[in-house]
Formats: sequence, structure tokens, C-alpha cells
Amino acid sequence: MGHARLQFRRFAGPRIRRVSDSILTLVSDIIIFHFVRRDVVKHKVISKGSEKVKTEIVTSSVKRTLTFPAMEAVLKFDYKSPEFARRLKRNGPTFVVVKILQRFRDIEKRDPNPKSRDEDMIKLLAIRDEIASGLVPDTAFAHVFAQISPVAAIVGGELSQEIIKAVSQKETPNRNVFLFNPDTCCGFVESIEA
Amino acid sequence: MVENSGMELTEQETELYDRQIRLWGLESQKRIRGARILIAGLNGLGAEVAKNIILSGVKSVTLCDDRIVSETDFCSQFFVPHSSVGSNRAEASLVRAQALNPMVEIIIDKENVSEKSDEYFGQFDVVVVIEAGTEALVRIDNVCRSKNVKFFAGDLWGMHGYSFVDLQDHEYVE
Repeated sequence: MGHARLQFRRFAGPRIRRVSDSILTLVSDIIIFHFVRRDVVKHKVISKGSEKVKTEIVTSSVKRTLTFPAMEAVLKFDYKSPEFARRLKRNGPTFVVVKILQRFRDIEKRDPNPKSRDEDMIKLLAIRDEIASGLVPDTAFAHVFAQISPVAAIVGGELSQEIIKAVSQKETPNRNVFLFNPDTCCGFVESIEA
Repeated sequence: MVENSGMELTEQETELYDRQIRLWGLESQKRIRGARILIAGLNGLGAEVAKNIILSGVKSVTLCDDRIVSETDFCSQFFVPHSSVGSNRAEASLVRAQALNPMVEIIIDKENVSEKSDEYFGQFDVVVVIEAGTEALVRIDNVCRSKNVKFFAGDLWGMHGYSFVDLQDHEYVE
């Protein structure tokens, strides 16, 4: 208060200085009171102005339907067509390699075993020459034994995410085959149907 | 349909699944809570799928496998202990699978999935078939189509893997 009064005196100048001290004190106090009040009022205004305008992001969900082909349609798919050859070139021969390995299982009633590596490799290459001659290089069969855990985590992760999407009926499912290319270490989704 | 399931989560479930409810919403979690899943073929890929599904909090998971644990399983099948070579793969996976989430019912089936009757698949909402022959895959897919069950297949040889999805006519929101 004392400091404000001094300021006021300086501000008021010679006109007020002529008036007696008691009046001056009274006047200055009134003015200061007024200032304080104005401050309070001003503060209120500020708090009102800084209040955030409430915004809410409204997402509207859209209902959609997708139709999937059966397993039979995928097996009948013509992977030798010139149109698919372009996709094979871009994404790698994984789809055809998987077909060869599945056929090995159907014939041998087992999967390639590291204990009979050389023997199984000859059988795999024979199947390759029979059903997909010229589509898959020999080097593609370098890693076909047992299951490599990081790849299991990737394919298993994708598969379980699809299961959760299907059960919760939320988000667009991948239609309809997911493949993992070991050369680029990339997974990709192919739409495969006859 | 994409309608409400009408099932309420318990307080304990809401607490455990809190973070995934934030991710995909309460309604999704309720639907997941009601799902009965069959996972046939408990190799490394099957174990990964089973782990993720059990953690997500479904109603029940049936682990179906007639194969025995072999040394090649130790590359990636993290459910089976090394001492279990020679025992049934689904049975050997039970203890560690259940430890992930005690709130999910885990059922062990030691029979071959390709020898199951058509009715067997009708009791599930989702059927996942791993490590099966082509003939079995086609048959089970057709059975699932006739019973309106979501069908999934997948496999992994070394580093070559695939997953196949058949949801027939699937309604969803995005």
C-alpha cells in the first residue's frame, strides 16, 4: 500500500500535493481500492477468456461387408498366369514355395526334416519341377526346416490379429492370404481366388 | 449384425484388460470375451497364435493336436518344456498356456483334427487349422462355411509362412 501511495503521489503531481496529507491518504486509498477491485474484475475476465472451447472428435463408424472365397478357390488359383507372374516378381515366390511344401506334406505325410536334409531337398526340387517349373529358384529352399521363431511370431501375430478383428467385428480384415517373404523379410497380403 | 453382445465384464476383467479396452473399445472386448476358439496344430506358429489369443481374453481356447513333442519343436514352440519329448504336444502345452491367463478356459483335445465329425466344428466361433494336409483343410473349411464358423489356416516351414482367412460374408465396422 505504501509503495502504491508513493507512486500515486508521483503520478498525481503538484495539483494534489497542495491538499492536506490526510485527504491525500484517503483519496489514494480509495483509488488503490478501486485499482484492486479493477484488478479482481480484470482477473475474472482473463479466466473466462482462457477457458478452452470444448471440442470433441466425433467418429462415425461405417458398417461394411466383405465376402471371402473358400479354401477350394484358393487351391484352384492359377499361379502360372502371366498376370500373377508380375505379382510374383514384385513380392517373391513365397506363394508357390508354400504350395510346393504343402504338396510335400500331402505326399510324404510329414514335413521336411533336418535329419534327412539332402534326401528331402531332392524330393522338394522334384515337386518344384513338376508343378512350378521355372518359377522358384533352388535358393528358395535354403530355409524350409523346422520353424524359425521370429517368423513364427510375425505370421502368428498377423493371424491372431485377424482372429481378433473377425471376433470383434472391428477394422477391415486382410483379404485373404498373408505371405512372408524370407528374402526381403517382408510380409504382404495377396487377394487370391479362382 | 455387429450388435451388442449383452455380456458384461467383471471388475477383475475390466482391470486386467484395461489397456486393450483402451485400444479396441469395451464393446470389442465384450465380443472377444464370448468367443470360443479351436486351435488345431500346436507347432511354433500354433503356440504364437494360442499365446496371443489367450492373452486377449477369449471365453475358451481348445488346443487340439495328436502329434508328439519332438526336438524340432524347441526352435519355436515355447509352451512345451524340454523334458516333454515324446508326450502329446497339446497336453504338454497346457501348463504354460494356462499360466498366461487363468481367466480363459483351456481345453485339451488329443485327437487328430482331420478325424473330427462335422458337428465338432459347430461348437466354435473361430476354427484355426495349422499343420494339416490339403484334404483336411478343404474339408474343414467347407464344414465351417456350412456352419457359419470363421475359418483360419496358417503354416510355417522354416522361414516360409502363410495365413489364410475365410470369413465368408463378414460384417464389420471401421
